[in-house]
Amino acid sequence: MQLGQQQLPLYSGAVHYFRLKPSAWRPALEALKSLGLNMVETYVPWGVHELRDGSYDFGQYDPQKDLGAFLDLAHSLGLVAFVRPGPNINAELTYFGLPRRVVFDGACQARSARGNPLPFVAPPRMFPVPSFASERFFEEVERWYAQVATILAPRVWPNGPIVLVQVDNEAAFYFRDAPYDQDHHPDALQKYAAFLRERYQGLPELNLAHGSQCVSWEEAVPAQRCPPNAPHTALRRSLDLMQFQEHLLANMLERMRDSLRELLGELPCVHNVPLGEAGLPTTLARIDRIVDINGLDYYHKQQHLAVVKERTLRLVGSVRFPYAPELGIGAPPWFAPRSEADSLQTLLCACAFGIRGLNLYMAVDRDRWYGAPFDELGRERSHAGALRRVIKALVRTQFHDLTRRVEVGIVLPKEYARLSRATHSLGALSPSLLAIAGAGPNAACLQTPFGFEQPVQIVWTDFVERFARALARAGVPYVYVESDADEARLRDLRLLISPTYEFADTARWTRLVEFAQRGGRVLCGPKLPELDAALCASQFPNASALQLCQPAEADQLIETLVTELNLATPFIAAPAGVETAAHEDGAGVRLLFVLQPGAASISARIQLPEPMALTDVLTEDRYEGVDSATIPIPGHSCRMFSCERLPTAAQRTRAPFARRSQPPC
Amino acid sequence: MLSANLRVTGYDAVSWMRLLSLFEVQKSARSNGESPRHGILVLVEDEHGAACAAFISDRGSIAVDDYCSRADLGRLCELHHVQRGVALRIGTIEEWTERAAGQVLASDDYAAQWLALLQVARELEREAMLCFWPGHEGHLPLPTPQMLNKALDVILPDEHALAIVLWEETELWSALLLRRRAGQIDLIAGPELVLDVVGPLGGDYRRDHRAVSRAISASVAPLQLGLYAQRRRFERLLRDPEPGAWAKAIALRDVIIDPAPAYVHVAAGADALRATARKTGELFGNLDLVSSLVEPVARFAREQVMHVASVSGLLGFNPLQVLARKLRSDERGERGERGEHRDQ
Repeated sequence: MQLGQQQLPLYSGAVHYFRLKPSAWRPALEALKSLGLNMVETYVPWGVHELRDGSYDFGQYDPQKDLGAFLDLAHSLGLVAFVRPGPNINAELTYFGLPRRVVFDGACQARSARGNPLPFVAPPRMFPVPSFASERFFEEVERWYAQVATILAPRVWPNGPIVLVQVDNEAAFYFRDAPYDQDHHPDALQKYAAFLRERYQGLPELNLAHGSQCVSWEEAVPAQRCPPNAPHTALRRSLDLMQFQEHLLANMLERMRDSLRELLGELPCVHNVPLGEAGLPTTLARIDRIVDINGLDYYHKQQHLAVVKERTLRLVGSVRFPYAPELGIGAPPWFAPRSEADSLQTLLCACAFGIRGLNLYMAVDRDRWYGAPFDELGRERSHAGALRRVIKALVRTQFHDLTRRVEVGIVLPKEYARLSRATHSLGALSPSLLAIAGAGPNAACLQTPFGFEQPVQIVWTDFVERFARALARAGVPYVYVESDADEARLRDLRLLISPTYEFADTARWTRLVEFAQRGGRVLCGPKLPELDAALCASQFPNASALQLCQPAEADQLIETLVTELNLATPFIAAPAGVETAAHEDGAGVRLLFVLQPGAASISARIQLPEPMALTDVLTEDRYEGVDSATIPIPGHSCRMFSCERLPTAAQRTRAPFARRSQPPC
Repeated sequence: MLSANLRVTGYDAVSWMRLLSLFEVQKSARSNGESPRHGILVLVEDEHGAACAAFISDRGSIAVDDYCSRADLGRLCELHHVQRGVALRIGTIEEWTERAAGQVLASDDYAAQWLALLQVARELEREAMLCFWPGHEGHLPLPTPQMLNKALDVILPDEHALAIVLWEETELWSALLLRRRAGQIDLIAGPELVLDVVGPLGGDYRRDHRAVSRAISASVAPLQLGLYAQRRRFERLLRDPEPGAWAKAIALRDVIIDPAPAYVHVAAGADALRATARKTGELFGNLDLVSSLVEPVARFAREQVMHVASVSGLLGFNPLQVLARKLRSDERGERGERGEHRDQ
């Protein structure tokens, strides 16, 4: 981030002023600075600041709620601030930080098909989730934003510390994001009718597409389920609902962003997407077009570093600035338990695969949380030292400016993900929940093929996984590119791999063809499409520009292309399964990460492109090698090495006294 | 049961993980090469009972062409080596959430909200919308929220605190401190809070417990029950099937209970009586003379503590017994999976 003449890397830590005594604010902020962080992040909870009579307390009555004083203190300590005023903040607060008055206002609540509110099971109270279509809810949010802006607006940089603001939180319908869960709120139904009207223009077209007999737009209510043997007309109706939910989420974020911009000026906006993004209604790329920075939340165990890798590669391939707005250090007590090692290894792995900014969540402990590097009084805990060393290395190497050379993109087609959601068969046990559980977002998809050769809703991810495994085995760095990502995401890529079945989005097809025509290579398959994303017959020209392939050929094809296009990393690792990730600038490789996702502790042999010394950032262990280095690595872990170029044999001959290491390259 | 203003504090990652580890199934060493069962098989049936979707929780989608009826569920679970299975008619989860929505939101108590969800799940099971493998014929009765509250009244009366503080050698290992206010648990705290209110400890739980009890009573709430022990001893006791184990540990001061409410005395007494009865029975060739005296004595003891309601009576089951049985059966299951047996 550019602040005047100064470039500011986005390394921040979370401190919740409203959960700490004001006397603990200073020690907390100083502790944060001692980690090497330059920015404090805090939520601003609506439900905490709003009083029962509808007035607000920003410190007039309770000094712990003095948001202005907290931000001023941060400013005086030389910190900048990232504020997150919700309305949804979760933060393990009761009702996710919303006032009870709003949550229990029927006009604000999302509705099921039978008109019931949708409770979410969060402790310590299940509560009905708000509707993203409710106009009443938006009015309430705007009133809250206007109030909180009285404190925030005067403190926007350069007059104060605020440099980032977050729009809402975890766009996942408050985790009631199952495909047919919502929303039957009257305002949602009205918006759905408007959405269909815009899409189909006339009722005859709608009836033809849906196989319905609607005589008014209002009769076109959302589907409640996709029947196992649905004809394409019924499938289209379900797909329209999926697309409407994407639209509803995007629309909600846009409205809230616009409100905040009106009140706070052109402050960069952030959003964070929770775990299970592969099963959520909208893509990272779409949200990235609404806000300035869109990122992922990370709460993983070290046994699941492969998941951290997959998620990060999707983020890196689909957004402009890969960011982790919540890189969990510790966890809420009702999450799966996370050790200090879980937090640290997740951080290292996310950095390895390319996040460029992060917010340590939490930096200072608080109510309903455990495991932050500092306790509620700012006292240091044992793992603060390791975090400090990592941050120091990131700052020293200017990690935010480094690049990881990636030339292969695996395209994740939005239309297939949408079909997977539409054919989900487990109601509120949503695709995102199944993704988090490890089953995968399409685990509970109906297995019927819906007139295609195979159940596309299930097999498309097999295609993706086969090629990903083949690339990893061959030591080829790759990213996942969501099919609706901006064109700029393809700029550095030379090979695209994209599943195609009997139906495909024509825009995606055109993009693949254009990529090939510009000189890139494209692998697609296993079928050539004939229907568009709405399952209507369509033309897919210039198929000869693309190479049709079968998933079973993945290993062989990749092996050939690695040689042909010279795609492999120079840091090939053995034994199989161990991976490396090199981050470089114009002068060469600065940081190398070595990852052992498996359980066994091993000695990894890393090929080196030139004589190098690798120094572990955490342990300071040093390994040197001319063309390879052998590095011990425990199971389920990631090691981060700063790299130092060593003189070659020829250089050593010329300068016999120059045996000591060169300065970092 | 949980306050809307619940505070959870005083843990770092280490002490929190330690606390949870007390209730984990112990992994014993494997003696054969067989991997343990894992995952849950979920099978969705269409309106005609045919499988239309299936997956294993940690493995993803699976093909189930050979599923004809619910009688096949067990076979499939065996085939896929999973721990549990559930078959449900399509639309069951939607029905569950629709039916439960009103009941859940009618309550302002988290336990009551969960009980409402579970009640509806039971309804759906009775209506054959879903079934489980292995089946659970011996369902525990679901208590009402009122029953739960009465049970809580016995264990932790309002405006009181309960503390379990465990040591490893001379160091505080982990702790669990609960406080109840206005009828609900409003504080769950760990060792950092204990140390904050007590100050430095000497390192011997047999002496430190007095200071801890005093400090908690003064700073948090009057202590209803304080349990202090070495964590290994406590861990063993949680899993010990032997009658008398708790009574013996208390008698030997391996576990210190200070203060000890009346129900603990009754429970420990009954535990001791059960152990005595068993031993005597063995000595007299299973001629169970003493045990015939035990029940009247235990009844007498209970009657003397008039203000102590029986937790088991209120709930319809003994929660500690269920917990111990669960921990033991899970461990047996683990060992069984691996072909291990232990002499009982």
